[in-house]
Amino acid sequence: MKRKLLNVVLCVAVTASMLAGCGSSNPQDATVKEAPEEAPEIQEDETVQQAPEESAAYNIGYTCPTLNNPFFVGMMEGAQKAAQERGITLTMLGGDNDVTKQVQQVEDFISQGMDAIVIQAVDTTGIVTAVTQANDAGIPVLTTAETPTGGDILCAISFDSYESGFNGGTYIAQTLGEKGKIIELQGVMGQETSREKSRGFAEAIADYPDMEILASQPADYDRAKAMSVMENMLQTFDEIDAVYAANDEMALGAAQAIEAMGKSSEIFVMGNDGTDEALEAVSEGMLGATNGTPGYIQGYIAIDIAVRHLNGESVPKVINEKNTVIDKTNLDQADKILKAVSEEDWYWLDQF
Amino acid sequence: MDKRRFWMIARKYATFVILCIIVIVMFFLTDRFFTFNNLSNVGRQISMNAILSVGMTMVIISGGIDLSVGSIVAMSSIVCASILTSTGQIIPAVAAALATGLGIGLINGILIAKTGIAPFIITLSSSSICSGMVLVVTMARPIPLSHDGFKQLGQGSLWILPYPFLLMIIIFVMFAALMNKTKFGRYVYAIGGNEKASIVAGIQVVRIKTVVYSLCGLLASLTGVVYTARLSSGVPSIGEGYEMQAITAAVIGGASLSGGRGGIWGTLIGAIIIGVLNNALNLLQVNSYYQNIVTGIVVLAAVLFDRFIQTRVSSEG
Repeated sequence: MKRKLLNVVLCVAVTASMLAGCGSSNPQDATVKEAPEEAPEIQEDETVQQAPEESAAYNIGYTCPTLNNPFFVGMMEGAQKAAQERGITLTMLGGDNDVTKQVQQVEDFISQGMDAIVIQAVDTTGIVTAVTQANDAGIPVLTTAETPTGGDILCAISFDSYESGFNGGTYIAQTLGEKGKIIELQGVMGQETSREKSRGFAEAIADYPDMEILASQPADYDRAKAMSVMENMLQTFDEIDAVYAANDEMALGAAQAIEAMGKSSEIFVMGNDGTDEALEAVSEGMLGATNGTPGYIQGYIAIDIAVRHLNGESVPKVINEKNTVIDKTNLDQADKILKAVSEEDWYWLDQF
Repeated sequence: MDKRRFWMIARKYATFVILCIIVIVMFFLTDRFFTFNNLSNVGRQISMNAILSVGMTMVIISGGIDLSVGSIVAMSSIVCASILTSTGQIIPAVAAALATGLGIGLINGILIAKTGIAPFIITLSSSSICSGMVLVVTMARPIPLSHDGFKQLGQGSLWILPYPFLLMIIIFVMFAALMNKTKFGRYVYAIGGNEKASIVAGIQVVRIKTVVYSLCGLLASLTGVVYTARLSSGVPSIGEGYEMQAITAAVIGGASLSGGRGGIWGTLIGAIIIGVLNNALNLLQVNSYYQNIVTGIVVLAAVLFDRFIQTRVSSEG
């Protein structure tokens, strides 16, 4: 009996220590902390609060749609870089592409007493309830990418999706000598950014009378889906000059399908985002170009603006991020362009 | 106290002990956990998954599985939101949403009970059909709501108790009574334990199974209604993977996927463990990647712990 009791106690202890271990060791790996243990005390100390210079230890929570996607991983790295430079504590969470999970995460941020919350919403309507809760708690909310349809947003940081699409269309038209037939691979049906990219793309092409969009098909920003859509397109149309994909994942999928058909030299493929894999594909010639919308800089800007606000600076309601097309000509500069966050690169300050 | 009785009691409270451990550990790790605000948050967060898990538990006890609940959540959310937008009336909107879930559950149940095809396949197909229909109807666009009264259902609270939480308590009391105190409940356990013997014993297996899946669908649509109120919009993309969370809650709560074993109250503890753990990891600022690992380990530990005690019960017996 005694020994069995001991067994139970041991079992309990193991579980407990497992949990305790997670609590104490993970934050160091997972979140950026200047002073992990002292952080809460510093806030309560009035003398420190009176001098909210660089030294103030803020807590910022950031929730994004998922952390399984290179774009968001880049965004996380950029945000962490900004947090590290400014000595603040950043908690970055992925929402598994589920808006209800994101709502919970924001609620938890509020319970935690975060100083600011950054949201990149899976669904701009569903997230509104979380934004208003943060508003009620007096916590400033910043957003990256699509703006929620309600609630008070301190600052909305985003790429102009229309401009991304327009850039892509224009670049392809000029590369093809203003004449050719294009397949467009759209993102997720009904999603605002997808719609806007597609609209920008179509309007850019409309400026060139000899350019024709053969088909516009959604492939959900997914590489495998894009690959099968492209396979079907290659069966349907004999003559395709270019493919415009609304993100790099789809562009890579399409390029793979094209390569399998042995048509790589005939069809120009352009993506959007500027992921590492896409850049490599550009250098290998599999992709013609990609419209860089660097997540790294996006994450960096979000934290930068949040800290500026917490330090008492007034910040603009909207920040427009810059697109940059990356092709063979500026490929060697790509890493610099897509991760340009040193002080002279803070272009967003011009929008203050 | 004799040994067997000790282990019987231990088995009954095993998951509860694990929950207590998590809570105590949280107490020492952060002072943010035991605040009114946070506890009411957790209460609201767990209630949806908990309601969903009640139906799943019944299905699992009956020896089946229902993979369509996530899609039913999305579909009833859309039905509820679109009727609410067009009529402005809460009652017809909620009634239509519940009828949707009940209907899909009924079809699932009839197909499973009459054909004998594996529940896994039937519900997987109906799940796919439902989520496809949701996308066709909405074009993947959410339906925003501006009905303040309806919003309260998901976001309001009575004193410090959020409405979804109260709803969850009512559902649990009702279904615990149904499963533990009625003939119907005993039949569900009997069917899951040994279907052939149940038929021989004269239990109307087809009817009972159909009712079980219908109730599961009904509870899934109720979950969808609460989500709709909470998000103040009908969102086509919700529901994905919710069936797995419901299954996890049931299994932590002691349900056996081979049927015949499990309990409504155990499932409640299971759902609370999942919810508290998610909340705790967020409060402790644990990165999302690590959260998955920790959640997996805790689920595994809970199930192993339960199994360990169960073998004690049998060996001491």
